[in-house]
Amino acid sequence: MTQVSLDLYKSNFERAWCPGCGNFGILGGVQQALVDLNLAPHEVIICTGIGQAPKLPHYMNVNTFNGLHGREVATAQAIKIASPEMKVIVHAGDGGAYGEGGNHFIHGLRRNVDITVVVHDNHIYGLTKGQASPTTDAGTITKVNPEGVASRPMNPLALAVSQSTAFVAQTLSSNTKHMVEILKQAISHRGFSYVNILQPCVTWDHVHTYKFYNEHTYLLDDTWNPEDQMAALNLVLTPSDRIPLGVIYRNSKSPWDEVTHHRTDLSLHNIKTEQVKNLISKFA
Amino acid sequence: MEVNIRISGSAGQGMATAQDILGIACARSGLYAYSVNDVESRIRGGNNFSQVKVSENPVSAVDSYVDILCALSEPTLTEYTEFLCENGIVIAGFSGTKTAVFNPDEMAAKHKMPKASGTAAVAYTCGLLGINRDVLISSMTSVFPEKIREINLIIGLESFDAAVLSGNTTFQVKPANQTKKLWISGNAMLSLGAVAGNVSFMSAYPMSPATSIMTNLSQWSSETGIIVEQAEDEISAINMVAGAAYTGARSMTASSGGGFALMVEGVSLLGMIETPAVIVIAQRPGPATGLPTRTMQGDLRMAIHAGHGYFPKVVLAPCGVEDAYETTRNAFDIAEEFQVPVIVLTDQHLQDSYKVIEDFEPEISSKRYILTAEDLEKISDYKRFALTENGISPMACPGHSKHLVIVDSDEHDEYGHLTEKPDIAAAMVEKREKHMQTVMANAIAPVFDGEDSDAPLVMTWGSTTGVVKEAVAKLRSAGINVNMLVFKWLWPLAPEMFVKYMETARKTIIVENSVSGELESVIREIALKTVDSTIRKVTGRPFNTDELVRSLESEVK
Repeated sequence: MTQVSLDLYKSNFERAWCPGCGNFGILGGVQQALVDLNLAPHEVIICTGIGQAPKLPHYMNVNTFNGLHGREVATAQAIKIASPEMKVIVHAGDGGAYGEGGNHFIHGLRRNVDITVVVHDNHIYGLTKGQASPTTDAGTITKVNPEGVASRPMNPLALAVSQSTAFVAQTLSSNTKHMVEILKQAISHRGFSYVNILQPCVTWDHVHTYKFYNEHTYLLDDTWNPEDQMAALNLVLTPSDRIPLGVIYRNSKSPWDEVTHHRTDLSLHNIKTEQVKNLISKFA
Repeated sequence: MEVNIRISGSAGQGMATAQDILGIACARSGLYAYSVNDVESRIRGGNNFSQVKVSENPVSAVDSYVDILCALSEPTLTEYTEFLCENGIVIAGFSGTKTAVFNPDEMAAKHKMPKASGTAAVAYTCGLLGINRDVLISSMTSVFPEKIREINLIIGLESFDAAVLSGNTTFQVKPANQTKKLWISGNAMLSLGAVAGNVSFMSAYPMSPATSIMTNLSQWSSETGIIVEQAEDEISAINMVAGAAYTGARSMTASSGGGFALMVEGVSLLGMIETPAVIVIAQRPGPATGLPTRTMQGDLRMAIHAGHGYFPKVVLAPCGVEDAYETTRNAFDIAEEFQVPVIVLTDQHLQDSYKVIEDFEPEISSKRYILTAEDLEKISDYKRFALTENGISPMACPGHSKHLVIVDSDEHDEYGHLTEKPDIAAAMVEKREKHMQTVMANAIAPVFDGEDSDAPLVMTWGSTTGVVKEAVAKLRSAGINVNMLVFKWLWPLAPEMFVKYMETARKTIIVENSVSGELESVIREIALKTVDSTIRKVTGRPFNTDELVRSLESEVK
């Protein structure tokens, strides 16, 4: 088998992100992960919605379904169900994944279709100009929250761990090496793999800067057992100034295709007259 | 000879089973039957009924009156007695019911099986209709699971014999022919049509009266390979359909008006990414939750206008139980050939009605309109949205070749990449306009039934077609000449498809089961033509033949 090269993924498409955006790092990291896994662009489908993160597949060469805001997880699951040989990866922002698409995210965790969901979590709505997202800290002042955000931030990692999600990890957009390693593990893991990528928003968020994340994050080391669900829950629920990066939790519960025994390319489905006749005969 | 039988009771009393015994017995006797189910939105209790019309000739509607009332509950006896016609009889078992010719409760109680009074009532009815005893046995054998089959057969046959012994021959119907027949519902025919249309993926969220479609396909999943995924909501359902369809799988969803309202952004997405899909709207009365188990033809406008922006879309409405098969199968071909969302409009009436129909040889969709791996080999530079003469770009499936398939809900270039360039945006608008013209050029004209005369023209669509056909036939046999025009393809419409019939008629009448007169307003918009007279119904119940005959008579006199 020939090794896939990074050039296959490279694109000259103009990137419409702010200079210094964490998305640039993620774009490079995803391509590197796919190359390391020796996956060619035609074997991969990246499914996205609307926002800054969802523009990502346009900036590389890959099969792309850039659909509606918040619906990327719903769409990606069906893409995988219908074409089980493809690698299906979602890139969503915190607004799309946890806000607009929150219901799909929750039920995606349950359904356990073998896809990878990468959330670019910058704690803010970037493309609509700086409103609060589901993960914005309470008290944050925005244009629509002049008195500060009243709602508490969501804890998506705790949600995912509590729902026995197949693979739950967190990484940082500026730590390329770590991010690539986590993405490779997520894409390879069977079942619903979820990666929260912490990412500074250089335009709208002056608290969660690159400096902030460098000071407040730490890598989970070899002593961490990602198969211990209660320890994982404890880790992500305990209030702390220090933010863990790494594989927080994983299990090997059977993914959707193993439970249902459905694993055929549905585009090749070809019903036979005899099958319809048999169904009709039930009504005689 | 036509006999209208009403099996009434509270939810959970087995009216559906009784109706099935009667329907299957009719089909296997060479008799025709049509049933309308009138149920409340509850699982137990309330007043429900199945109205079944049995005849030696094909029937496609029921009447408002009752010849045989099988009342399994006292409140339904009280409520429906007024519909009994002069020679009508009652089968019921309540104290003080002196008029009943047979007491099914007593029969069921005698065999310590109180739940079988429906069996007793319907078996007695079969006896009155002159159905063969062996046919009743085979019908009950098909309906009852083994565990309760024997006791029901005993109760049924004793009741049947009592009817024969009574010597009452008033309601005997002579079978017309012995061709092989089916007893089948609109929702089952629609689901069979989807199977024949080569559907392989369905995602839906349960909602009356559409749920039966996902149930049918789920039940047939193991023998057909069709995948049915219950979505967490309708928004997920339509976006799943878009995803599966993008990979080349023929995909569908089904809901009622309220659930479809949630899908509307997804319809616009399908338009933007020019991806085929079939969406069934099983209509019920709104606004909002409305009448969940009732019927209405009130969502045609909603279907036509669903989705922001300007893009091609097709709206079809099966005009009866038989046609639900063909129209749904065609919907999948139309969707794929023209790369459009196709909406199939049914309603509670069509979904839940059963009919005796002739057995048929199924035609299936075998032609595909997507690029094969061999086609893709020959293409050097694949563009999913290549600008073409007819506005339709060849569709490839991701993973079937080295070519990448890129789609975007944003305005995009020929490759599918998002763009804001004015010239490309204009080119894509023009492409979608050409795409619409291509769809329009392939539109199917309404079906005209009548003579070349200035006779009054009765127009209708969808599930109301059956009752209009019956009413028109009755008028014709009474010497009143009427023509008929049935719309199956409801969007896009061009005036030349139907105006000539309206212009010839000395009077135009439209029959719609809605408060809003949806098709009437579309005709006015498209053809700048006013319909002379409208017949509508707003109770959430379908038209009955006798009431429609009276309404039409007063219109054409």
